[in-house]
Amino acid sequence: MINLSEIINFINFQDLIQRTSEQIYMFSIAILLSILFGLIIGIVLHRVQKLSNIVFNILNIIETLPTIALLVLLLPFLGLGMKPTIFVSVLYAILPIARNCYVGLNNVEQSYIEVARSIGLNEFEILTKIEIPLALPTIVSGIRISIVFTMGVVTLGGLIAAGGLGASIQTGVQLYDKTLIYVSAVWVGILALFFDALAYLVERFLQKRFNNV
Amino acid sequence: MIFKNVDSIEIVRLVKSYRDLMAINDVSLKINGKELFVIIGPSGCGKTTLLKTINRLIEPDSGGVFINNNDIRNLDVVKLRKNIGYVIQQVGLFPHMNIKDNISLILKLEGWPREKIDKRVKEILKIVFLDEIYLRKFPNQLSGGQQQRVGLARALALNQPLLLMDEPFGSVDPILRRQLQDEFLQIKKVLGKTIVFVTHDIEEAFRLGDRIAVMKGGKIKQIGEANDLILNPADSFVLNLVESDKKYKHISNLKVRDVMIPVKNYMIDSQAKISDSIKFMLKNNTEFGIIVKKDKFLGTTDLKTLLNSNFIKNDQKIENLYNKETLKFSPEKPLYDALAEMKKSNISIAVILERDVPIGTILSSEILNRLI
Ligand SMILES: Nc1ncnc2c1ncn2[C@@H]1O[C@H](COP(=O)(O)OP(=O)(O)OP(=O)(O)O)[C@@H](O)[C@H]1O
Ligand SMILES: [Mg+2]
Repeated sequence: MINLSEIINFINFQDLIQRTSEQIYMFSIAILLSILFGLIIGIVLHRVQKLSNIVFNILNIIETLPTIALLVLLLPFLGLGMKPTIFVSVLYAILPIARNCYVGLNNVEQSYIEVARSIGLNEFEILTKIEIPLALPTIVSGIRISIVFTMGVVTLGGLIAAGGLGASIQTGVQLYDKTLIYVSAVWVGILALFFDALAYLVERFLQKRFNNV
Repeated sequence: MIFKNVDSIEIVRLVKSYRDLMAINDVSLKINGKELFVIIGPSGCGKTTLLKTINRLIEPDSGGVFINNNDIRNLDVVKLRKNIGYVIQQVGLFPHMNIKDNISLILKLEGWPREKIDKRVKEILKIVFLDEIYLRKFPNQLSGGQQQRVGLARALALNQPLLLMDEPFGSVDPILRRQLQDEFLQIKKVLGKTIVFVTHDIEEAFRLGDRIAVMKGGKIKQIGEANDLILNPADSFVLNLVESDKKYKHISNLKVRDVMIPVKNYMIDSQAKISDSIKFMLKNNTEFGIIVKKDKFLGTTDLKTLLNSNFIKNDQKIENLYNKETLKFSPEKPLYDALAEMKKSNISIAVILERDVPIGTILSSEILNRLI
């Protein structure tokens, strides 16, 4: 058993703060890039439906590859550290966002688009004022899934010298320091839950707002 | 605005097909400026398709549409649409925007300043008989009729000279439809716009339309004023369509007196005991009673209230337990107005009084069944 004073004694707080900020840094960049690319892919595929099958097949295949395999496979090209970790996170997290964005846009009721067109909105205005806002609840559900993915991949980045809380766990393993392992792992879990909860609140707000769609 | 006024719309040899189905099969017609032109016909006959060729939501296979003698294909499509209001049956209010944003979206995109938008929104609300308190609400917080009014307001925002309406009252119940039609007739007078109005309800066509085009299977069967269609129907199809209105026409002239039912089985004297009143209702198989004192109307009661009262222990006189809030009509009141009032106050039974004496009663549900 671990008791609290033991934890407080053992943890190098300085180090944990440093690792946490690395973790959040990688996580934020990865999730922002995923959202950016996910939305672009979703919107493009919505407009060019023909491409959707092939693109989603590719993304699905990427999704089935084990993360560690991908991290290692990319070593020769991207080396060690944060860059390949963020890259792989984005590869994984794009699919849920792109797919939900695509589905959400496709499901916007045709009569809204028709009315928008008829009162004189151009195609870009229809996309930004009508389609995207109406697809937003679905898109945010996709982002929630990606948040959990990203937190996991970023933690694994510790294995390839990316720093972050994965590195703390690594250190714990090497020093055979169970407390450090537990504290870091739980801390990752709490962070994931925190960001997920944040997204959940946004999602719920949007769903309430759009509950008649 | 490309057009300040719409003086004519000419549809020339228009054809639109979906694979082997001819949705519009060689239609030509001319709509005059400021008239309310109704297109009527059965489901699937091509009304919506024809309407949508006017704002180019649908491009025809051949033939053309000319507004003020301009071929609309030569106009910028977005600019064209900003000159044409469009209202649909599903209303299609944007659910993520409040009422004000729904109405003013196009004004914002046009870059109008805030004060001008506010002023315009208030103006249109007055036109469509909608209170300003709804501006901050969202579409799902409004009733069907209110949503329809907002849909119309949105279509009028830019003061477009041409208005296309596709079964705008199709999804509301008969009484509300009648009310919206009445309002719309007033709105029409105020606006002085050219309006193309699609419906499959001949009564609506007769009430609203200056001229009526009867469509069937992608073709126009006849165009004319209501009288032309009634007196000189072009074929048996038009004849049947017009005939189907006879009973409705009759009804719009009806007075409350014509449909009220006798009150004998409902009359309860104010001095009667509750228990006796209940027996009386059960015997006559009614659930509703009219209470009179020396033949003068006092109020109403219903079986449920009486049964729930404490009559076994305390069998009072019925005059201690009646409902004063009832609808009372004169026998000369037009039936439609009476039904509208009943609907509005959500009371399904009304008593008809002549010099305070009940002479009849009407039950809204029962009357609607008889009308349809
Ligand atoms: N996009 C489409 N693809 C294929 N067929 C269509 C399409 N749009 C309309 N149609 C067909 O064209 C015909 C005319 O349709 P339209 O919507 O104009 O009818 P309508 O008179 O408005 O009917 P309703 O009263 O039911 O609204 C119908 O048979 C319909 O099935
Ligand atoms: Mg239609």
